[in-house]
Formats: sequence, structure tokens, C-alpha cells
Amino acid sequence: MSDRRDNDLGFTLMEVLVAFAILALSLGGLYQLYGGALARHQGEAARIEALRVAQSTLAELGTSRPVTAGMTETFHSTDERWVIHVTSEPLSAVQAGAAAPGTWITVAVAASGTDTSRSEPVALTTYMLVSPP
Amino acid sequence: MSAQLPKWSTTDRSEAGTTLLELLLALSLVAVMLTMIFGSFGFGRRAWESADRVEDQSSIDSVQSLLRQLLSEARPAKAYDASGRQAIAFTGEAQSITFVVNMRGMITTGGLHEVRLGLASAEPGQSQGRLVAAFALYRPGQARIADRPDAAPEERLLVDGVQSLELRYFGAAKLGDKPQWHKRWADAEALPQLIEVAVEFDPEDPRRWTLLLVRPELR
Repeated sequence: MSDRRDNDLGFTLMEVLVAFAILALSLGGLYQLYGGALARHQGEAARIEALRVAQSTLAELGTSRPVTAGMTETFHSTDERWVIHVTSEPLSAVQAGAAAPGTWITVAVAASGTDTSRSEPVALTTYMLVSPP
Repeated sequence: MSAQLPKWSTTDRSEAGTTLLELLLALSLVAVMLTMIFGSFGFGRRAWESADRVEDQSSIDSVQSLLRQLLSEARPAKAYDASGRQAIAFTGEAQSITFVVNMRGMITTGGLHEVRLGLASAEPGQSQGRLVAAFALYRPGQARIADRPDAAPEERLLVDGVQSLELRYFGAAKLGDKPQWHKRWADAEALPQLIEVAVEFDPEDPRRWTLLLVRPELR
């Protein structure tokens, strides 16, 4: 035993254990880093999906889905994954000083059901012409 | 005396060979190392797969952006069909759509192009289709892309592994009609008010297609 300790050949058990601990710690750090990055990316992907739903809803409004001033409507996306809130300002509040009769339409898209972890709600607002009542 | 003996046979020296305890420790360290290595293989594989999924989904997102831009900028351009009759160069079918749009250097050199979106005939033995965009330079007054076998269009793959493609068109087919959804929109006086593009993947495919509804800006 004393021979081995004198010449520095090989590692002691303690050294190996410490090296293992350091390796485990750094691997754990990497694992967490990668997991966090993936989770954030998936959150972003959900936000993009919500944005797509909002864009499609905005295209529907005023064409296949009627728009009235002061409306409030809530419905689900076709795949039931999203809840869509459509609100518009009352015409009288908007019309003062406006060149054409229209209303500010806001489309807010949020994850449906209990799964709120998917993303924060996305909201798009635009000015849309409506025919006066 | 012992110095004359070869090293490997020095059975009388206490440090020769390993004790059972040392052997057990070494074995357990090897076991821990192997577990870590195989564990990291599994982690690497899972990470690779989820990164793949994220990438697949973001390519779907780019295709949606491209289609939204192309369809919203579709032009009510006049064209002649095979019989010489004039109509708007827009043919919307349930499974394909042909329209004219300024590509502005997006895929090709730019300028007005006739674009056809549809499922390409699946290769033999394959049940899945490929959503492709075919495009050719648009020349006003010339026959449409489908009627011109000589003008071989360029083709680009947009999405592969598509199970179904369904298109719908909202609008009044004739002036004065009540606007409604149509399965087909061709030889019309104007572009539809709304175009719906629904793509379906295999239930086991993790990719998702958000229902795409686009309003052509020019009608």
C-alpha cells in the first residue's frame, strides 16, 4: 500500500468518487438547461398556434362570421383546443371623428380547458368597417 | 530473495492483487458508470426526438405563413380557358387550388405566377400524400396551367406525410347571391371572400395543422 501512495500512479477511491460527483452535477445541470430550453420552445410553439387561430378568426370576421358593433362572443376553435373571445367597441364610442363607420375588433385566443400551461393568451386588434344598424 | 522473483508471482507481498472489497468497489463503480452511460443514451434519444418534433412543427408553421401570404395576395387576374372563354384565373376545387399571385422572389425569380396547391400523387405503396406547390410564370391571355401540358411547372414540396387536404370557399358565386361555403369555386366573377385550408395528418403524427382561413385582399 505504501508503495502505491509514494508513486502517484492511479487514483484513490476518494478522487474517483469526487470526479463522479462533479460529472453527475454537470450532467444534471446540462439536463436541466436542455429541458428548460425545450419547455420554452414548446411554449413558443403554442403561442404561434394561438396566433394562427387568431389570424384565421380575424379573417372569418366580417365574411363568414357577422360583425356588429359592441358585440361579445365566445366560442371554441374547430379542434376544441382554444377558446376565442371576440369583442368590439360600441359604434357610438368609435364613430366620433372616424372617417368610416367601423369598430375596433379584438380577438383573444387562450388555451381551452384546464391546460393553462400551454401559453399566455394571444390578442389581435384591428379596425373593421361595419354597416350602421 | 523476493526481489529475484517476477513481479506477478509475488504472492507474499500484501499489495499484490486486489482485496475482495476493492474488487467490489471497482465493480460497483463500473456498474454506476454503465448506468449513467445508458441513461444518457436514453436521454439523448428523447432529446433528439423532441427536437425533431419541434422542428417538424415549425416547418408546418412556415408553410402556414407562406400559404397565408400567397392566398391573401391572390389576384383576380383574367385568363382564357381551353375554349377561349374569359374568366378569373382562379380555380378552387375541394382538393386543389390554382390562383395567380405575385411571388416577389419568395421561391422563384418573382413576378406574377400561376400557383397550384394540391396533393401530389402518392408514390406506389405509399398511403400518405405530399402537399406540393406547382408554379409557372403567368402570361395574361394564355391558357391556364392545367390546360397547358407543354408548360411544365416547377414543383416544390411543402408538407409530406399528409393524410388529407380539404379546401372550402366562402362567398357569393354570382353577384347578388347570399354568400355561403362552396366546395368548388371556378369560372367566377370574383375571388372568394374566404378560403379555408384544412390538412390532416395521421393520428399518430405529432404534427398539428391549425385550420387556415385566409381572406384574399384583392377581389
